[in-house]
Amino acid sequence: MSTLNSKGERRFQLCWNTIFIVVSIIALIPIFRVISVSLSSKDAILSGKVFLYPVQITVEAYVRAFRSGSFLSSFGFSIILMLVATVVCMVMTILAAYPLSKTNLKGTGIIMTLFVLTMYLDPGIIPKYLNIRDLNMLDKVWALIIPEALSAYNMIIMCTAFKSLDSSLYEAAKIDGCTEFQIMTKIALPLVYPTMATLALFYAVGRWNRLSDVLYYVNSSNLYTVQMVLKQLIESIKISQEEGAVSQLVADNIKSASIVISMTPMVIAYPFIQKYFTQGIMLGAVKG
Amino acid sequence: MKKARLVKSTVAVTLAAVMLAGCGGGSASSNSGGSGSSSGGGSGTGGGAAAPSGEEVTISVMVWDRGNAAPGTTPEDNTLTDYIKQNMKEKYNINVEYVSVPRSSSDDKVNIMMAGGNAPDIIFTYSQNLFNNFAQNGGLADLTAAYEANGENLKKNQGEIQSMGQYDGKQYAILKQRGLEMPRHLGFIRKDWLDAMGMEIPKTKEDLAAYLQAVKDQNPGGVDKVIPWAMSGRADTEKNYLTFVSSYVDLPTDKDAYVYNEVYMAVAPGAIDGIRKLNEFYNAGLISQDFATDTTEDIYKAQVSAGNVGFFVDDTGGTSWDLMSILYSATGKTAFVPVQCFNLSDGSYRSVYEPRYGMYVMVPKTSEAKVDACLKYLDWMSDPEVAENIAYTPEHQRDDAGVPIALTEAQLFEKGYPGTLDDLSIVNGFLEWMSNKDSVVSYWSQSQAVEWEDKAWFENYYDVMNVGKFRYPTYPFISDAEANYGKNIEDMMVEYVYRLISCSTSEFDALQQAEYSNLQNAGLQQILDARAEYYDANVK
Amino acid sequence: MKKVKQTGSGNKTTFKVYMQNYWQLYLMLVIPVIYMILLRYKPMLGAIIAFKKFNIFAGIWDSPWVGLAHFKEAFSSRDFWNALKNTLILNLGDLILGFPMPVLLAVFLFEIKNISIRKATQTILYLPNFLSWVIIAGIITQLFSTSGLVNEIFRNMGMSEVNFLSSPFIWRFVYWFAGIWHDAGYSLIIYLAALTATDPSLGEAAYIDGATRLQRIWHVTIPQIRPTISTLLIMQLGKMVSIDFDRPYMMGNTLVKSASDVISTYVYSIGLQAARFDFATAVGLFQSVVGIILVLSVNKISKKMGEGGIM
Repeated sequence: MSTLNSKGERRFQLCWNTIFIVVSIIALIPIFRVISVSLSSKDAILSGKVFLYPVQITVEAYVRAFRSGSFLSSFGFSIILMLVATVVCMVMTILAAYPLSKTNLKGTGIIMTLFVLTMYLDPGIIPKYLNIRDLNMLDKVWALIIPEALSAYNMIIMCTAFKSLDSSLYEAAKIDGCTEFQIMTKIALPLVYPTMATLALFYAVGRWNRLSDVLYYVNSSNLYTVQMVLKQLIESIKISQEEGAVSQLVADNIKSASIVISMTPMVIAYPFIQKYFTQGIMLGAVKG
Repeated sequence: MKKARLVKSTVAVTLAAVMLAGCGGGSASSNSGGSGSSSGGGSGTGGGAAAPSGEEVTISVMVWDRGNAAPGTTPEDNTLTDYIKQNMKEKYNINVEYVSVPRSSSDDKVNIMMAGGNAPDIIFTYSQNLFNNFAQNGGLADLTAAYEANGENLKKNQGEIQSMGQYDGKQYAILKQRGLEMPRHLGFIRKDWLDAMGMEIPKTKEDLAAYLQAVKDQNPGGVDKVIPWAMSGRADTEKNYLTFVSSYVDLPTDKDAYVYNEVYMAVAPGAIDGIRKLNEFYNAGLISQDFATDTTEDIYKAQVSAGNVGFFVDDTGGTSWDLMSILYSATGKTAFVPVQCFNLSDGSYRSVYEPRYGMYVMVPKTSEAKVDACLKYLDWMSDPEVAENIAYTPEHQRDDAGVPIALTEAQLFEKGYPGTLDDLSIVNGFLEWMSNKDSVVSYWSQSQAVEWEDKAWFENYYDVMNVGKFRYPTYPFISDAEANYGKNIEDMMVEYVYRLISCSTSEFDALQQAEYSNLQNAGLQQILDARAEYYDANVK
Repeated sequence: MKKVKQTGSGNKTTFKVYMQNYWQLYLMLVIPVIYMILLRYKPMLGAIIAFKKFNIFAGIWDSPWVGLAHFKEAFSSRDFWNALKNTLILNLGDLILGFPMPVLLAVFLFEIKNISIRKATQTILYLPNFLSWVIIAGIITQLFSTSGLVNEIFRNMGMSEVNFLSSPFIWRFVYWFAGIWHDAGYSLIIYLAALTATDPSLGEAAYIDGATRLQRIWHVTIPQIRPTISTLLIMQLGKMVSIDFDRPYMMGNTLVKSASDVISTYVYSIGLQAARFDFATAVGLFQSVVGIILVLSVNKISKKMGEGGIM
């Protein structure tokens, strides 16, 4: 980057560093709060004493979440499911986005339009469920991977990234006798690493947090993701109104502990994904 | 994990042995636990079992999953399900399989499974709407004959509530009987503040108004921001105002009681006076000023438990106890006591109780061939003794007052029982001890996690609760209008009252008219008319 | 982008040659297209329940037709139009206030030389995205209710209370603010990814040319993410009549109903809550049609303006 080191530049850096630190703190308020609540006692939360720091610190909520029957096994399952689903999604996305980024390819216009329109179509849960049933995927792990294997939104972002590449690179490779597939893997993909990393993150987070398919498409509790188990755990403490007068309050600390636990893998994985952002720069610099 | 499984198997084997000893009939080899589940327990105990009656049938039964199965077990397969499977096999040669359905979205999932034609043989819901929808559209198996043939215990124990499970004169659902009888909502007042101000426990709404005003003026607790009457803005409950408002409504006939019920109480004749009174309180600063925006109830709960509140109405049991116990542990003295002061025009009280029926247990049309087996399953569970064994585990003890002693969660998990035992007891929630005041009081005072209040407090609680016991009449009918718009009207009704309470006095009438016409546009009158029509045609 | 005439090798472009060159690209598309048809378009056939009285036991095909009854019910209801109006207002605010925010953040974050602040900010701003709207709504109430923290500060400063949550007008700003809080980090990452992929030497060149920072941002940085901005903008414009359920539902309260009742909550109240899937599907179909019309027109306009469009 630039080595310009004027006074104005220093002032600019100082000013914007401060702004970003402030913005980050504001963004962190809800996170702080969730963590604090998860570490506070139920009484302290109920009496409204907890806001940004824990009161009457206890890890009881975490113990409870971890102790719950299928927590650990579902955690393992969720991580494997997330990895597999992310790979499937990325392959599908690239398979669609790369050809569709070639605007000169015949037929891409109509296919792209059809993909774009899927973003605005929602048949509702019952037709979707019946479709999954007809495809014989109910209560199978595929039901948690295939239905969301390709997001048109992400595919379009990928496509935009491919389109931004300098087309002269392709021409050169083509003349060198590379097949389209080779051009994609050897030239195009390394140049869009940052976007790939971003989309992989979105897919991974999407899979990690998505509940509706687990809820509707599977019955066996060994196919429950950790989010599902945590949701049930939260609900288990609340005996809803309809079940009768004697009801217990959902302990907010357990709710929050569940959120913290379910965020952790993503927060840990994020820096590794970030690595690809800078890698993209270097590759870009070399090729450019 | 392994250990838990071992313990579980051992328990199952023991249970089997106990049961077999009790049977003492002829012998037949039992292949229980063979329903595909991996349970080792029960099988191979060989010999001594009574010959299972009837041909072998396998039924699948829905079970709620609340994410609190014991480690190493699932909601479908644990020590308690083994106990039930074992019994059904022994008694009726019925194999039972469980299908778990997440508790939190149970109705949606059942609906979708029904649409897909792959629901389990026994399903259940608390929603009358869902039951009605299924029955009306021909999705349920007719249980009339099977109930006659196999429902001996059901008739004896839950017979009087079963009419709610009828549609077109046919029995389409078996109703689960609720447990402990309690009113829906109960008011609580600061006894220490009353004493400090030299006031008696209010007996009427006028007394209450005087108390609220005195609390505001004198601030007897010397707290920072005193709130005479605390409310929240939760959109899904009418607990904050319903008892008060409905005390302005006379229900001269059963028909009125049926038509307005609880849900439509806010538009019943006279209710507007109650709402106007609340509006008056609000504008006089006697009700939480920002209650309407407190949709999560956090502020409300914080204020009550911090001791800033003079009076509140909440669901009976549960939340209110939590709040009061926090206050108790902070101050170490009796603060809140239950109070019934919403007198009707004739001076009596009306404390609304839940109907005795709760859950609708149904068999889908697709499982029609298995209705007999399903009814046998339900009938067996209807027996109070069996129900108690399921709700408290087969190895539970009773205390001196005759109350079953609940196992702690740790004990349950160690033995491989699920966290919510009651989920497997699907027809009978009403156990012997619940009809006895001493037992109930003993149960309450023992079940508190935090030591707070003495037996006398709970005795008083029981007595106050039983003042003016009242149940709205219910019938197995939902009009199309109610099925389609009822839920929405219910939500709008809460908004209607909240908005009227918190508007300025001068706006009240105009707002009332506008909001009322919104309700009418949304189908309120159609619903009320249909209810009246049904009553005239079918009840009188 | 550039319309390159076939391969430019000068051959007569017969179908055979064309396919020889491009068959691999078409092969790649096979699986995604099959997927799209089977899992996106086939279930849409089920949307015909919008024209039926759907009986879940009779099934989609055998339920009786009711024609446009569900549409008529929706279109003749004042609540529906009110919900539509609110949906548009709230989405418009998100567009005007929420959409530029991640662009600004990305551009200035890219100017920051301190790598650790850059990385940390980027991560932190993404975190609120993990929290559900129930949590955010709870925090908002604690902060902005009349007894909340913000009003507390106002009172201490001698200012009068602000009815953030009970005045429909101000509530909308709280809603938009919460949207930025929750969502800005998401698009931020997309923009940063696009920026990192671009060529830093361009910026260097601009430095040497003596351009001011703003000129550089405007003439070098922004054009680099311009395709991404227009792509995201087109997609968001297509979603103008769709709205997430949780955010308005959790953040709303009875006093701001006139602003917080939106299409998704309307469908929930009137349709899904009463298991009226046919009615819910009818409203969904309306949203789909409007969405498709919007996205196609915006795409066309974008192309006319030389921005390329997404299809």
